[in-house]
Amino acid sequence: MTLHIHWGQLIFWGFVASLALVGTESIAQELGLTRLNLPLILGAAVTPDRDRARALGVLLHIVMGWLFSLFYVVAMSFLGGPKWYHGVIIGLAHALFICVIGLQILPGIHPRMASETHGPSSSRMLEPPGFMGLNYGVSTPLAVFVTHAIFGAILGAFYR
Amino acid sequence: MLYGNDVAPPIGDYGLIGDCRSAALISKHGSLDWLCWPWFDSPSVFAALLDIEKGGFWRIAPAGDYTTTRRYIPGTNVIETEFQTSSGRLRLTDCMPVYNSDYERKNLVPDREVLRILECTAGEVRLDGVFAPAPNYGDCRCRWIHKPQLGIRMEFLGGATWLRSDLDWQMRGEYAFCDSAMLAGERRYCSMVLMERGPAVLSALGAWSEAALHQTIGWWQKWSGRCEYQGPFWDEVVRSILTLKLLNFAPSGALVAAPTTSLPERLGGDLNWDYRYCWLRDASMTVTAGFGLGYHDETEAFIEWLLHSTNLTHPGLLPMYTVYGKRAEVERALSDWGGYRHSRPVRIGNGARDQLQLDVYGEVISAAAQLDEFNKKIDGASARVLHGIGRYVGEHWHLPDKGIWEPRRGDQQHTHSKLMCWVAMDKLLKLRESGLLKKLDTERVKRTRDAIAHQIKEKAWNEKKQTYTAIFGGEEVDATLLLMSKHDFEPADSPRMRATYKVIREELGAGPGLLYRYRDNLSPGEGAFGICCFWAAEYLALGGGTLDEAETEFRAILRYANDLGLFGEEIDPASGAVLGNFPQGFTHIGLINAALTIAERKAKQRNRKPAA
Repeated sequence: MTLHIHWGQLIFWGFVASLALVGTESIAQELGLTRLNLPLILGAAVTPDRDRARALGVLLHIVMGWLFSLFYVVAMSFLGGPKWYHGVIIGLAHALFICVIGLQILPGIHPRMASETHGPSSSRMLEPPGFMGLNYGVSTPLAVFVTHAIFGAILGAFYR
Repeated sequence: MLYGNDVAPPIGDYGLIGDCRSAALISKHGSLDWLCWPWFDSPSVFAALLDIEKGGFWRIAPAGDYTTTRRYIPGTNVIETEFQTSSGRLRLTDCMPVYNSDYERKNLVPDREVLRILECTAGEVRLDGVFAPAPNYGDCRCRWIHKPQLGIRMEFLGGATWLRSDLDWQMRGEYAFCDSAMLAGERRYCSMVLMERGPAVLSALGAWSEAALHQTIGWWQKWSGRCEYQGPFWDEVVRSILTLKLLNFAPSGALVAAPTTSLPERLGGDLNWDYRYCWLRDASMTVTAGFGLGYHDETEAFIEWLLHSTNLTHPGLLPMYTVYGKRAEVERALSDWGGYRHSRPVRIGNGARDQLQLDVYGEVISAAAQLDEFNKKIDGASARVLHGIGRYVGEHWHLPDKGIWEPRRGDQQHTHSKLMCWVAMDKLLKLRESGLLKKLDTERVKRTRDAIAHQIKEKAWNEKKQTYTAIFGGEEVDATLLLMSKHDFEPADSPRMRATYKVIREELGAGPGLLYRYRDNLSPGEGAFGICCFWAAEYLALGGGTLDEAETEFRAILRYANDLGLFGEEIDPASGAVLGNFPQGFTHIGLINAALTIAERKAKQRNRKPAA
């Protein structure tokens, strides 16, 4: 099977989907569904300055969204090509990975995140997400699933 | 009873800490009984002050009997409370950390934190700690989780708080308690952080909390060290400006009237209002105090807020706004709350938000005009706002209004409102004379100003009683009449003003240094009004009396501050107790302005003496 990547489409729709992801995450926070703030968490890995961390984190989140777009496009080709529901399936699988594994291992790799085992120290003070991100609110898994399903749906619907 | 008492302590038993975004009241008994988070007008997290069962509180005190002394660490808003028990001594240091920007850039710090540090300074002290928050005015389902290494998390709709401590806090249902014992030399830390829209930054306690305290003390001392005031009553003036800074909402420059709602003007009564908003009625006096003490940046930010954050309603102005320049919340009552010592209802939001109060126009223009007096620039956008407000006053000054005291009754022709309309016109003309507001229709403004002056002199003067009166054609006086001299409408030593002062003293006097704001059928039970007492001292210093008289008056009022130097809105003349929302920015503004005027008079007399 030969896979042709339409880079222009990937870059454009990957960017749109990433913006939608950041936007819907932000809405979920405003609605009080979750305190999972990926831009802040990503940015805080680079700088302790919260304001800069948030701004830098948005950029990092979008760049990561682009990279994941490539993964989504490849994965959709295995499901029979880009369709909105294929994107949703991959988004849900991605969200499951984030909740069950990604957030769990985060305190081990994030330079400023406290661990549940050792508690905060002067260099690691960011609240850890806990299993399924539940430390950030009971609706956190729901928010992760919905936002990533939207990300996948946009890519699946518009990438050709 | 979890709270340990049937009623909340006297209002004057509280001290205020804050971080220029919100503020907390802590009693002499180490109980944090009031905190709205994350902003001044957000729902409460602790509000035992208004209902000891439903409101929530966070107490840290010794078990058993004790005596307390407390103070602000000099030049700061950090409170130190010393508890003396039969077995030992405990020092509790309370603050809401603030950091300099360089420190914040280099360190991940909590968005919002209350830091409480305990030190046993002698013997042994067993603690009686209770942590019982009740978010959203106690009307919020919370989810409590104790994570041994992280602390106690309380999650609610819209955020979460973490309590971290190196003391042993145990959860019991919907509160946590601590009964650890501390020995001489031990130092322990309790930190509560709030995060709304992101992962919390958890305090590392120990050295980290020491650094936070050190930063906070340094920040406040640096800030208070900028005070340029050199005159008499220096300690009281500095405490007042520090208190005002606690009421300042740093992100927008706004100043809330008080950090509380529904502390009663009449104990057990219903004069309970929400003051967590920014009133325009004290704008010019705030600006005079800020510039007078040398806080130019904060004062300019406040004027900027006055002129531009309120633009949703221009050219009309509302009596009050939120810290972001929005309309105050619709007034509602927490019907099942008991209120402070049975003073009900507990009100959230303010029903006076839509009242017509013409005095605010003069306040805003007078505040902005001080930019010119202190050689600051007025940009084109600000000039347009002033033009608009000026036109509005020109068209509406003759209307009856609610007046400065916001009575919940019909509109009347208030002398003070007319005075402030006159001030608006007069200040616009002065700005034009300074070469600003080039498009001002000078003749028209002059005509309006003179017409207002004529009306005041004719209709507010009661020939029979020999006094200016609170309303046109009325009989009663009102303490706002003392402001006629402050605003240069009538010299303080004019026969009319001297006669008016005499009547005000006779009819509104409530004992040495004390004045009611007015007396009518709404007044019984109300206390003497803090700022009015300082207006009287200022009036005397302006020339209505001798310097000695002004200073004596001033000193007499100072006796009614609490042990930390804080004033509420009103003073009970019988007991000297604090009444009304606390602490009250309006009263502290009055204190500063009276002190500034006394200092000015003193300087003038000093300069005159060598020539004589």
